[in-house]
Amino acid sequence: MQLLPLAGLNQAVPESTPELTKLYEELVHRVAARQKRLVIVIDGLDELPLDTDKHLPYLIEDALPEGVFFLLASQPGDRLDRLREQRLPIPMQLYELGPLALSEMYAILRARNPALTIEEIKRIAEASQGNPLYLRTVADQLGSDPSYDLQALPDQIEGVFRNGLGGLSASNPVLGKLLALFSTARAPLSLQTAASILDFSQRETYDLGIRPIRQFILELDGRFTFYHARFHEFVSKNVLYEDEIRQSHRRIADWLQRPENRDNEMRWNSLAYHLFAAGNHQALLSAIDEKFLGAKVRRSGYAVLEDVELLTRCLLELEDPSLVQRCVSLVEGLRQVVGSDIIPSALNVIRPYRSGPPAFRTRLISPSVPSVPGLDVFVGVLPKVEVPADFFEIVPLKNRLALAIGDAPSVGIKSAFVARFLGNLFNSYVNDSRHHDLAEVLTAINTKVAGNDYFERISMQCAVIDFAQGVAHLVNAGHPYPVRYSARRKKCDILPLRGDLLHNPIAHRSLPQRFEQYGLEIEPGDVLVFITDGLTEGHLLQGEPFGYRFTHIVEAAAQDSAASIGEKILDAWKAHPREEDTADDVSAIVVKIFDGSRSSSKKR
Amino acid sequence: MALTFTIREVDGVTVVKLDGRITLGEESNSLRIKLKDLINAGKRKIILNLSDVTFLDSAGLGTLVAAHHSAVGRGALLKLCHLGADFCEKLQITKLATVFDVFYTETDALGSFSTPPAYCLCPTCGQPSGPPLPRWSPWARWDEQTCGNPACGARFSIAHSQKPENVAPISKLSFPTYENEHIEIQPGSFFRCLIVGRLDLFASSALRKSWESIPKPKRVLVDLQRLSEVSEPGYAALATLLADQEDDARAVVSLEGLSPRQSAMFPQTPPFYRRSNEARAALGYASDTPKWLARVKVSPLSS
Repeated sequence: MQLLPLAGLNQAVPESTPELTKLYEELVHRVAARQKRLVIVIDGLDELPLDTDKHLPYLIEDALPEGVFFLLASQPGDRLDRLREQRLPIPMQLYELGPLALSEMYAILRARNPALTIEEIKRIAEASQGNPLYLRTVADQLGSDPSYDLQALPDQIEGVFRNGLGGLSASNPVLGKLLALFSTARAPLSLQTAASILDFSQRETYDLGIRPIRQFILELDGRFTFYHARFHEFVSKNVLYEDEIRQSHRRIADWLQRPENRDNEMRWNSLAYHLFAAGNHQALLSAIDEKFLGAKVRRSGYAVLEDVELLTRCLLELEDPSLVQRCVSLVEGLRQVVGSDIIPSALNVIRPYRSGPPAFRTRLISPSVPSVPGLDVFVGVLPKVEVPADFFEIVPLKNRLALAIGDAPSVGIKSAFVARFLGNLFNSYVNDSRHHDLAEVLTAINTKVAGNDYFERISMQCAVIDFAQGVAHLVNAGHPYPVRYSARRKKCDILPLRGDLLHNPIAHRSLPQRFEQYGLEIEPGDVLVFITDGLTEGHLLQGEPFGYRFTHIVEAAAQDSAASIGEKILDAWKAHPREEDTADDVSAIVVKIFDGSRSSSKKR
Repeated sequence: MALTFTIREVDGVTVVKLDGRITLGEESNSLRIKLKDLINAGKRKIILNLSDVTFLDSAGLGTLVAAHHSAVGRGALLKLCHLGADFCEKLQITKLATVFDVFYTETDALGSFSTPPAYCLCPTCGQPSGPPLPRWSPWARWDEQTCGNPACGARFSIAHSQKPENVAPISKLSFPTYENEHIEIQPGSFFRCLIVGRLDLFASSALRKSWESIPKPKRVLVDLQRLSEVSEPGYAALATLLADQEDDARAVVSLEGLSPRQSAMFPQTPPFYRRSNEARAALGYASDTPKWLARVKVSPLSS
């Protein structure tokens, strides 16, 4: 919003991340062209949840326009480490800042509350350990309550929050609901709206809800919201119970569906989100129909993608393969309105591990994936088009890691939905104790998709790696064989795992489709590599396919991290001489087993 | 590059030579339309010569499968030739090798219309294997057979000292474990189970499948002379098979050829024997060892 006037534009800001990213990049270039210098300050990078994408959508990674600078502030930690690991092509300079000096704290506190004495400032400085948020919060607290006891200042900022929420009790029916409302609403709310959603009078809402926590509330143009992400996080994680949060989403969704809110901007922006977060999938499937999406796409353009994402997630989680067709129809229907560009954008939002804008063969998609202690996991995909048909799923289990890799047929919208559906199904089944081994998991998946044309002839491979027991279990449905590097033998083995494709309509019908689970002994230092046939180029009829020559790379790089090994494999694939691109997705999952004394590390 | 077609007739057979890539989109569509037109025009014997096809993706393969089904449904035969070794392996993996009639050369494909090929059925799972058996002659070379069932993976050879009618004698069968390593079963007065390479948890799967393919009553000598290493789970798998036999089965293990360190991994008591001749003697003369035969079918799908 700050960039729009600088760019000389006046338009609505989209809510969907891909669309927002696109506009943001455009604006940065426009502003840079109009004025000589633009400095974008991003504060509190470390406050992003760790499961957020490795590639941050608001960082322009390829090349910055002349005169554009980013200034990122972050506390030391994993988030900062990840940023430094990204090897951005733009130059980067790191400045390490120490804690605030007393004189700086003095200036901050006095600016906020000139009545503070030097003794009070010293006491606050001692308790805050130089945390600026703490300083500001206590200064505001003293502003609203001059009798606030500075001798009882807590060690952490959360303690200050906790003290400030003393009015939260059973005798106050408004405060808890208001906290939940502000935690779950996606935009600041006017007093009138908040009162209407909570079904209290405006006076009750203000006096019993807002006033007791006024120091934690920010007012913007007559609308209220929490003033800081840390307070939001504190309320969401430490104050509210899950059912209270769900109930709040439901309350907002119910309010948005009232007839008088039919044209409310908030309904168009957030109804799907609140229905999904409320866990009310049936209501979402009913309310967010093709008519709603068609109207929204005309009204808000690509903001509709979030609704598509939530709707398709609902459909796919119902584990009914026939609903994949509905997902495809849904997006195809939108194409009639906004053109074919909606297709790749829509497919991008249904990917489970997002990692920024992909580019054809030029940038590796290497999403952050979950792992378990003792294992180092890397996933790399070189997509043939914007959204790959190769898919993978990584599921941490208790002391074990389950993974699946596969290749959906065809390309684009259909295969992306099919891939996502299979990923969901694997995730669900591998966590289901009714399936005793991976063969049963794959058999159950095959049974589920058999008979649905969308799922014909899919290759898929699954593994459960039990680091503590020193064993991996593997099962295969017509997928290229994986590779195991043995640290003891210092050699790679290609593992011939037998198994038919999923839903193979030309399979010998006299045989029931069964899958065999293989066991594999694993030791510290071993490396497992799972691939798709784009890497081996199994479909290449002429010329030299890349094949399994990567085994030599694994043997040479076995001491490296999983990421380093994976990147070397994919780099070698790219460097392999070939007359033309095989035009298939190329994927690799590398799992390295550490020795018992080390934990998983993401360092390269 | 667009897919182009050169069509000619050879002795009543329509030979379609393809040039380019068969991938999703225009190429697949044009192939489907072309084949449909040929079948609609009454062509019943069609060969697709793929010698100039540079790439065939899963969508292209799907088009071929659909065309094959359409052709069969209308009484036509569709055969493929000049696929290249790598792609033939791909067809094996995807079980398509036994669906399509695949030939190395166009001449072979043309010849097959007058003489339908015969197929062996895998002695382990009963499914058709490949490649098809060539016309029998005393000097004909019969390639090693690979089971077409991707869940099986058995490889076997058939003896060709006599003309196969409905059955052919099996001379050996193996399941691969690792590269250049396998479990091999050789028939004779008893069945020799030769472990080539490692016996570990991963190889135990092939050992179990090999063992199950031996006809009853089982008379087995497990030969470890080409064993390279054994792990505890590998030994446990072997011990389980030895212990879990039907009443009239007999099985012994020869430790001959193992290093002292390897030999120490095994018990030195029956059914484990230090010398091969001791093991054979313990197994005794087996007059009731069954013959090992593979069934032969003219059509791979007639099973």
